Amino acid sequence: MGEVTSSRVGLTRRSFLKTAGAAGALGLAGAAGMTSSSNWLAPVEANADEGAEERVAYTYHQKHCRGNCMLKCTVRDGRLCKIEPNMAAAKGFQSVCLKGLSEIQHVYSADRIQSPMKRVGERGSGEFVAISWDEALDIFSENVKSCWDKYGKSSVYLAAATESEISNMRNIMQCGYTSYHGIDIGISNGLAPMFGFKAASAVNDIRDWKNCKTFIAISLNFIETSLTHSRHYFNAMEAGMHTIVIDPHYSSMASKSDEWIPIEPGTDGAFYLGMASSIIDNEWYDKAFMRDHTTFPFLVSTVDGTMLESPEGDFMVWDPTTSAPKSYMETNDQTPLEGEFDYEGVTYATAFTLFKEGQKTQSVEWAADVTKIPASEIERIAKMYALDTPSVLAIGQGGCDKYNNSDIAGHAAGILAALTGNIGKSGTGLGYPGNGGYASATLPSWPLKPEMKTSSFKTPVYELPYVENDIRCYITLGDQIMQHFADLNKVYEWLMTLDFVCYIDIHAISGSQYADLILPISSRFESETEIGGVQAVRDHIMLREKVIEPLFESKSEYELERMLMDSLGLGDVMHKTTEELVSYQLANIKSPLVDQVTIESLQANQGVMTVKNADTPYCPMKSLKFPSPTGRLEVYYDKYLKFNQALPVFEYPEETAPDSDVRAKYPLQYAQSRTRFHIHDQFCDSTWIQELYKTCVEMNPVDMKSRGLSDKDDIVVYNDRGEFSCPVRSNESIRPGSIRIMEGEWTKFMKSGNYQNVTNPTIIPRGRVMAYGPVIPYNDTLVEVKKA
Amino acid sequence: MAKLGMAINLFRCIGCNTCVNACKMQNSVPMGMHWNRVLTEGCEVFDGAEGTYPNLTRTYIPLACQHCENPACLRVCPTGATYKDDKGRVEIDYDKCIGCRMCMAACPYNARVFNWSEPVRDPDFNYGDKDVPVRPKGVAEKCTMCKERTDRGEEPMCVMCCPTEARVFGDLDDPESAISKFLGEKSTFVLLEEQGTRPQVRYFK
Repeated sequence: MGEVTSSRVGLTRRSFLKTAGAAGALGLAGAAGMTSSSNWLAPVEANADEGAEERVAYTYHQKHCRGNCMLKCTVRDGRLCKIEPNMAAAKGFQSVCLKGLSEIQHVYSADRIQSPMKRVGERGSGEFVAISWDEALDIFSENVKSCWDKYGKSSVYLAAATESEISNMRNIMQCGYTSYHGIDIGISNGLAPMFGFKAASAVNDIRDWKNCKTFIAISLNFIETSLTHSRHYFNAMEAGMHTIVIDPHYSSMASKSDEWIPIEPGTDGAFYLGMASSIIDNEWYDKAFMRDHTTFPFLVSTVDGTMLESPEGDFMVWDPTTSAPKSYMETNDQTPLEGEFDYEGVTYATAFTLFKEGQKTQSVEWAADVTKIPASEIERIAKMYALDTPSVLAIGQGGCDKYNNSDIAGHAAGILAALTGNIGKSGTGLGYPGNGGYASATLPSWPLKPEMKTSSFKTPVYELPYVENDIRCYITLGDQIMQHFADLNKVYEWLMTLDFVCYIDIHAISGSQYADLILPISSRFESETEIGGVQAVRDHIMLREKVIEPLFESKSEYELERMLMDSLGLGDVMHKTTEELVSYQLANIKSPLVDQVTIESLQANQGVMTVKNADTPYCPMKSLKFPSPTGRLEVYYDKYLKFNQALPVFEYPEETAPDSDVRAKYPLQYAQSRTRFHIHDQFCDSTWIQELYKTCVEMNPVDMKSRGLSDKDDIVVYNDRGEFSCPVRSNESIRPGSIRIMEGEWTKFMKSGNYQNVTNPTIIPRGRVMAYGPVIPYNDTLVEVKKA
Repeated sequence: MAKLGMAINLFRCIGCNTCVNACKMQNSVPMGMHWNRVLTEGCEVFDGAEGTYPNLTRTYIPLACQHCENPACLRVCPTGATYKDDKGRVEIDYDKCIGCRMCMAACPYNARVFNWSEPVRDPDFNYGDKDVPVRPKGVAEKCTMCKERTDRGEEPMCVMCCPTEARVFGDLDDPESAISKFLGEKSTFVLLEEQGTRPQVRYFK
């Protein structure tokens, strides 16, 4: 075969044929059909009969990817046959992705839970039989009531996936419940104190990125994980935004940036601190912003690190005219940002002086050594961030967020914004860009009796296998078993000790195997009634109409919630129909952005309404009045003095530290990322997705060669916690010394085992005092691999 | 007469495969086949990269029928099943196709697929546009530039659904069309130019 090179794109004839192999292989699977020539060359018919009845309904899709796609659905002869973006949505919000389109198949998936099922074998054996809803409800209510009688109401724990719309049940049942979910919170733990715990980011609408000059994305693969919003990223780049992506791997985001800077995994905090040192050394900081909008000028005791307060409880700054402290509210242009001051026998320093002093051990050179990014590069990026402004520091919830040192990184990132003033104003941004920055009305929840609240249970759920607790009944809405624990073998041991495990989901994902009772719910396309729900997100109010009837024996979430509460004799406090709930929510929207909205007004506009000013990018902190008690960015965390973290002091992760004892036996860092092909554990069973992507471990060819591995070999990934097996793919995008897997894959689609069997569940004491609870350090995991 | 064409922005293409599933749905493409797919240039593994870590580049290339002005497939079709229609699209008259697959061998872009056996759909009904013809076993098929949609004056489904707005569609013969104006401003290229097929699908970075 001759190699014909196209001069324009470097695409070779052979590379066409190679990649054609994927399609060809699929084609060959059907080649057996060649043995029969019957029906060959039959006349062509139209896709649908002439008289086929078609109708259109509107719904919304998943929110967990931050997509919130509003969809126009065509139903032909009772079956969902076409999905398109709803063009009644505002421009820039008319979207669908490969997953939304795959719902054509996915709602009819072979892995749908078709009917209620009860366990017949040992727990965990996966042996179930189909039962009636009557029997299922009896089993549910008997077991819940039995736990209530024996151990009290807080012995029942309800864990719900972000995607779930069920919100009343845990309150009505007064369940054990915590908002500590162990993921997507690490950086926020470090940023929240800066805003007095009233916010965890200062993120403008992503349409405002077009006003940004320097965009730094770190541990963030936004164009893949929030792919329907990517257009705004490209619009901003076309408007002149310079993008720098910091990531250990050559991610999708990295491949679409101006610069990719590879970093040692788990060291983002050191990178930020190196930038901060560079900004200090070169005096690139914004003194006026620091003085007027941060706590950098506040006085701190050099003896014990406490902040000086007036008798009235005001924090103090130094007054050079009186040589005495005064309230920070009297700050003026004479207020010193730096200095040490003696007052009543104690020496006080400003928070900025303490920070500068502390940074002497966290220099640019030190950061270069830790992160493996050259000092000159850290300095160059710091200069761009500080001077080529406005700048965005966009931080992801994967990568560094999955380490126990992520709060330190979050704190350091906040300090960078506080030093440079890259916050609040148009073109700036700090933190995870997927949640905030949209003007949205808030929908009220259904009013319950005041005593109906979750219990005061405070243990993070992923600690339950390891600590004494009162939980005896675990109800999971969506697969909270696979998605919210590490080291699954320990989790299975814990599940075996419980009195009752109930699993509620659309599809039978891996965790369902450990249930006593499995209950089927339906998708966002199905509803018993004409109106299925409503959401107010991302500048829109969106209605969910019935597209098709609930499939099989499944129930919509609201219907199931009512049935379960009725079975406990508590259903009378709930709305009687979904339409009643939706009408109540719409009638009680309290927002200056919405005048009046009803089911009818939404239906008249293809199920959507944009809120007022939806065409103006929303910048929630542009007044620079921050939501903290002082109205400033509170950079000094005296609350964390006992952990030596009043100001950020870098700590290595535990297991993957350079000098970790585990490295000798297990030399590879195990990273899990989110892929555009799945939303965590959703869509893994979609055959339209499986045609495009199958889960594998990706590995740099250097590490494969040293282990004698070839592309597509089945491998075993293992450490002392456990193992799993799947194919390996050779990929130069992966940092040598690390391997990568896309999280969420079901056990049944692996060669064996679950990808969470090897992950690190260790919680550190500092995590327990953090605003959003401790982190599950999934990426702080070391493994070795071998050929299966 | 018209000459429908498309321009694809390879910098905006994030390889998300939304166009792949949009096409599959609209055109009721059976399992095991795609009329439109996304390649990672120079890589066997999807999301791979060219070069050696950390000196890497990656380009995704969405690839379907290029609707060539000089189609290699048309020249070899013995029955006239493959034809250039009055809107400048390369189309297949499925009733005339005898399944010889000469067109598949001739197409330098490997854009065509073949119904080796009874088409299998999952779910097992004819999803997609109701006007799209169902292709029987034994015929070749490929991107039609969403014939049924573009006949109605709509954009192809891949254009409508692209999350990054990477695709520009229109009539290359109409100097006032969005795509003509666009091509007047941008430097674009075609795939495998040396083949002389003169594609009406253009690419740019």
